[in-house]
Amino acid sequence: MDLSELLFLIIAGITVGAAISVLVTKEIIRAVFYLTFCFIGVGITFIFLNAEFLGLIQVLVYVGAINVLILFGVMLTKRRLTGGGACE
Amino acid sequence: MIPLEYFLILSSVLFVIGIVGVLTKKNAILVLISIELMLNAANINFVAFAAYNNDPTGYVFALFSIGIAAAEVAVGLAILLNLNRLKDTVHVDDLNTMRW
Repeated sequence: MDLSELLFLIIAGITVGAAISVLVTKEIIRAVFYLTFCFIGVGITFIFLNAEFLGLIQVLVYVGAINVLILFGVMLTKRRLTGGGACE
Repeated sequence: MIPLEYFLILSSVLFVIGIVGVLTKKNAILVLISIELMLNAANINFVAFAAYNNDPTGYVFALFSIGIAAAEVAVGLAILLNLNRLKDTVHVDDLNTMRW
């Protein structure tokens, strides 16, 4: 197993771990921040596939635009505070 | 070079996580987040097959997909903010009607 393969497996593990953390965490604001790590991991995966421009666009659009938009959505909507889980 | 199967397995795992999120989560914003995860899995597939077949069509499709995903989340959040203003909730079980 050469170095790039090992590096890819580490990045893929971080990406999948962040994606699972999005689903299992109780605080919705933490889910958005885990989502940031997941998007950055996918961007690095694009760079492994010789698509550096697309990885850059991925990080710019997803982390810079979509995550900020979702944070606005989280902060402007009402959570269900009574009954059930914290943000289920 | 990294085998193609690694990228396909990563994409499949991300897609399954997105489907589980769409089907189980009750907060509508988490459903939108899970849809973004599924779109990312599809983008990985586009770019992986484009890189291994030396065909730049997949890169262009992934670029279109990223742009459409950005537009889609903007429209979805606008709808959710209006729903929150009108019904005081973003819980998907409370949003089971299309007129109110």
